[in-house]
Amino acid sequence: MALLKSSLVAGIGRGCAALAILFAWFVPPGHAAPAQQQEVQAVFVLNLTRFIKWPETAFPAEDAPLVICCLAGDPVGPFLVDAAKGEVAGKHPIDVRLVHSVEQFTDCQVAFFSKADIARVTQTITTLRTKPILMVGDSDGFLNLGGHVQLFNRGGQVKLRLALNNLKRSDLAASAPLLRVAEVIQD
Amino acid sequence: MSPRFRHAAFLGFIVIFVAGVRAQGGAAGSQLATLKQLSLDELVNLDVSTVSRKDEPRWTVASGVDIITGEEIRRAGVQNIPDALRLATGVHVGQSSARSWAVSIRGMNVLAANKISVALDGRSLFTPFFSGVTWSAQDVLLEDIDRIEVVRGPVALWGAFAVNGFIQILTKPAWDTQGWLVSAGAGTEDPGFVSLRYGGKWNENTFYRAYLKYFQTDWTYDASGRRAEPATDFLQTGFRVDALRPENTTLTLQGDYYTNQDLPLDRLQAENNGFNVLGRWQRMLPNDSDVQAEACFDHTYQLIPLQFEELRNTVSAAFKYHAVRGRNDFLVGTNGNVSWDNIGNIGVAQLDPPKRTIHTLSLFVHDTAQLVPHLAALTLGLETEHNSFSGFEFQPTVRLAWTPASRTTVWGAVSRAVRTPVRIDRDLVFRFGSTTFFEANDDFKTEDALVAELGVRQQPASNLTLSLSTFAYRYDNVRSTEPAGATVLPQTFKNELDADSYGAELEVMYQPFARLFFKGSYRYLHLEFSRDPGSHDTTNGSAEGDDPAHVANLSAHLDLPHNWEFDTYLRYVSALPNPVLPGYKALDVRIGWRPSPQWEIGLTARNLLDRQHADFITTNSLNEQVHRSGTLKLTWRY
Repeated sequence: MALLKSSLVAGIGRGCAALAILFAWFVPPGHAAPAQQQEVQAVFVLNLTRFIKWPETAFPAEDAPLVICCLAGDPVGPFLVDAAKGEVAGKHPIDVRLVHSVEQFTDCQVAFFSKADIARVTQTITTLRTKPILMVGDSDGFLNLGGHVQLFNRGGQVKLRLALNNLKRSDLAASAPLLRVAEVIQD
Repeated sequence: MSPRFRHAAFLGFIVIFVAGVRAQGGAAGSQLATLKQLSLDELVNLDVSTVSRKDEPRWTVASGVDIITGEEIRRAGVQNIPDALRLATGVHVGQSSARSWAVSIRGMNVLAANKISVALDGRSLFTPFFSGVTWSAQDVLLEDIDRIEVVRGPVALWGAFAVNGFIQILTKPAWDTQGWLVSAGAGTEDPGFVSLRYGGKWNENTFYRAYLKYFQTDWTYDASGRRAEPATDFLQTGFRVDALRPENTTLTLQGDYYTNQDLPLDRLQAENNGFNVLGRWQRMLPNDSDVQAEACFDHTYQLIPLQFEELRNTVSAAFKYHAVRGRNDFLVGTNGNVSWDNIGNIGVAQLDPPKRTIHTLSLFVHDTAQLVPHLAALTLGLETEHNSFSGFEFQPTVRLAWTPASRTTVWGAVSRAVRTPVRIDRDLVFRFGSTTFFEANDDFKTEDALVAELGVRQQPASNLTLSLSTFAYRYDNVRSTEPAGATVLPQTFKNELDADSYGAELEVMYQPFARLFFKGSYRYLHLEFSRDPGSHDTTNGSAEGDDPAHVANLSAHLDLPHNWEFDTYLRYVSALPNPVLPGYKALDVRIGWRPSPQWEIGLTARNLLDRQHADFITTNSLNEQVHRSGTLKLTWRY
């Protein structure tokens, strides 16, 4: 038993030593944590407002706010609120709304749907897909459901995929810089 | 290693760890301003961290949960569900032959492990023949798995048997799997495998997919390295249709067929085949309520040569209503099934009667109330059921979650859970000539457990999460084997074993760089059986569980430039006590390359540390060893 214990302790010791070396190697002093996926997604959503053209009918007034909505409890929500503070898109001040029920998405110009909530909002996406509401999401089949922009991960980076026909159906247009960086799906 | 060096290393580890975490803690959360300065081009080329589990709704759940994503399964290069389950914290997977596995949580692991419940897309994978899962008959196109949710501890919502935990495998909806997927490969232990899937849509709102997979498993080896069992193969095909209907309704229809009979490598072996069909109707109601109804038919056949043949049909239906009202999140539901079997008694062990129809009808209520919003939530749950063998059963649970800060959750729970009798508990008979060696009896009753749990989740920095759950179980009326009367023979099953267990599960996830991710997990278990006064059981629980005290996993995932991926998995399982088996360490390595979004090449080497080792041992079946192996897999998606 004593032998077992001492070998166990030695094993733990060796494990810790190995981990210490790993951490020493990978965590240089002062190294900042990498940007979190959710904050990068929030910044993408905010940026998209500058590269998408809405029909005039999408806004009640020329200087009406551009409303970005996502479900309260969505992990990206708090980052969106922070990122959009004081921002404008043309003449439209940007306003972020954390909505509590899916019916409230109809009053927005941008809707963001996280994979975590996708089962709850699948039907909402299909209802909104003919309206001039830019839908951004990060689940696999988001564009198949009628979404416009999919944020997906490849090689530890967030990439964009754009569904042109879905944009057309919603009377939205993407500008050249966006088309250049995004993977474009035609059909 | 000298003790002095050991202590220095340990201290060094703590210092570096804390310093690293502090440095990063300070930096976290203040990057938005910098990110907003970046152009679209710069943003798409920015490395990001994906670890932050803090934001998941499960962060505040009052139980031990781990979720294995489809991406983790892809990165691990695993070829079957049990190997995917090895990735989950607190799950012990023991492979006793090429196509048999024992899977359990918090102990009581044997091939017929009966203290966990397993479901695939809502269909129970459990057979009431021996109250376990025939893992060799459970498969799915692994690329279609969305996630595997592993809940440790009692899950009353899933009825009797989820005493130690619940595993739910969920496949992606058909709109997530559109287009072609072809994957094929070969390896030293997997001579050949191929999978094919096509996903399409009939109209804007109706999506479907169909798949076919075939694979071969090579010879297995005995302890001396000699070939034990010849190669075998398996075929499975299936479909899933998801339709979005008016009034927020979603319809799902899915089904599978599988067999290992009449294939090129068919031989005298444990045979499995079956098919199942499942339909689901789901409607979202205003105010975030939803209602769901589900019905399923499952036909299974298995043949264990010289022992049993089991033909089983099960019809099940379930209904669930979920609503959020003020501070309450409320779930009520009912679940019922009827299962009829026909047992071919072809060996010494027999089931008497050979045909039986059994049922279970359960009702559950579950309410999570925010006592103080964003700070404390109380969950009360009760499952009550009626089943053919033991009549009425009750499984209550009380859970409390306390979230003092957004990065911390402390939770505790007290539950009662049951494992109700199944076919073999009541109907098993061993006869040889005119002598009856064993005869089960109708007095065998329900095994029950009283469970206390306490856990904490903490996110000290945005790229580091820690999760610890502790548990203590008091099992009563556990199955014992002893003389039926005053004479030694016949023996029978009684409920005269008890067991006490305690232990802990620790999970650490750390992403020091966007391109480097670690997951470490450790499970400690102390499990001790004892006998009731007057019991003559001599097995000391060897038929109920053979569990290692320590199960540890450490995986590292590295994303390299030009879409190369490098993954390593180190695992340690300590010795098994009864029957005795030495512990083992194993190392798996995968190198993957995605030259384009369509193509993926993966080379996986498994069990690199030894030529072969025994993974698990059982008292009643073949005990073979697991070989070192290498597998090359090519995948094309379009």
